[in-house]
Amino acid sequence: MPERLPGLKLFLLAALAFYFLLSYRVALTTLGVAQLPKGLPALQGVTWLGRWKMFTDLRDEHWDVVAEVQGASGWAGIDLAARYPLHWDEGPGYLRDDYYENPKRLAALAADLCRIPGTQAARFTEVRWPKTLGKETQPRTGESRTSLGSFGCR
Amino acid sequence: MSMTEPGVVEALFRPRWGGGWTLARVAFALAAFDCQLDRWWHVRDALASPNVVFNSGPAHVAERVLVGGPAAWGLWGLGVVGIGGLLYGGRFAKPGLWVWVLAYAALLATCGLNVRVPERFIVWAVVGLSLGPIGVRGLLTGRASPFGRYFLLVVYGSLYLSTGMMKALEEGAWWDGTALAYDLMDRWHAGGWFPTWLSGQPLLCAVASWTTIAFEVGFSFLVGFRRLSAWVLAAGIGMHLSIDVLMEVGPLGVMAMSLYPVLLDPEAGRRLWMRVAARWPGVARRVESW
Repeated sequence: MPERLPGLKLFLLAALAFYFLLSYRVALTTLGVAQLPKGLPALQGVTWLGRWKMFTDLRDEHWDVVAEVQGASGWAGIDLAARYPLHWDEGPGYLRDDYYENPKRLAALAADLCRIPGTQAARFTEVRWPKTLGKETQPRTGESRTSLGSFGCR
Repeated sequence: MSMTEPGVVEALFRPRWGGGWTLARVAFALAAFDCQLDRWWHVRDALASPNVVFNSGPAHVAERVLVGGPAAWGLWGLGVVGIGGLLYGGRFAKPGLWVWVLAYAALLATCGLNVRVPERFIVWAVVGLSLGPIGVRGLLTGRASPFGRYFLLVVYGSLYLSTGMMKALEEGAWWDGTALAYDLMDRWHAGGWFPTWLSGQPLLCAVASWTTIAFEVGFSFLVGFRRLSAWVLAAGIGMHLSIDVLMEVGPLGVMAMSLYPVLLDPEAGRRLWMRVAARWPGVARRVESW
């Protein structure tokens, strides 16, 4: 049976290819290598489904998120991995940069830590240290720490 | 050109061997089942407690929709039923595909985690399969519209070309292999003695990087050639299997490879199938009824 509406289908395929081209262009801006296109926030939303950034940039550091809660006796560390052990695929959910770099989500995490009796505040720190190639042991030398935020408990 | 001669557009959409759709449907169902089995260990992530905070993002999903244990396992089971329909084929193929993907998406949504490339790829794969004749039986000896195949070629071309171009043009560390070497030491994606050892071999990492870039950039330009089609896809299988051996990157690799039968040049695919059928006629007769 001959194809129905072949011209329209060809147009749709061309439009799809254009969509992916646009998505690639927007993906470049997220790597900081191109001028921002006009209307970027809207374009980022529209092209989200067509962007394929995977293992593109150099990631030569390990990272972790350290949580502390303030009680009557001062600041004390919280074992986040023990408290939130669940993860969908790789690594605990709170270690995804999409999660911990989002202030609203971090506030939600703080709100949960505030349920610990006697807690007055919670704070988070991102810790980074260089990867060591070819070695099983990864010494945490040359650590850098960045404060992610401090949240008071109501 | 006479009035009876087909134009360029009509010739482009001439029906072609459709056996790739049958093979891809079965392969995709098996890949989806593999994906679903992986989720078995993480179904409890979909529960609102104890990690309710992960669901409290901007959407506040779990604050309003609480998925309890039975519901989460129900969604998981529904996904398995959908995969069963897809595997069985016929009139159950497309409904089964959508039941699986919607159940999978519902589980993912309750986690409140970011949707990554593998999940986004699944969306495109499901649309591509829906455009193809996956519910038609006997396509290993029949013909089908090439529209769904063209759709998937555009999707795969974008997937490989954009990742390859970003590596080649925007990250110099891909040219000397160090970007790959450091990825092999990722705490969550990688691990084990072999990736660790490989990360300390600069020459091997550089060769692996160049091979990856060559495949990803070359795919779009070469897969359309009949004589090269199978070789390009074989290179893709090599790349995805290598990644799966070295790193844990979710279901992307198996999902991507499962649709390769559709991407194969139809005439090359038909000839390949004829050779298989000549060598194993009993198996071929059984498979042709799928």
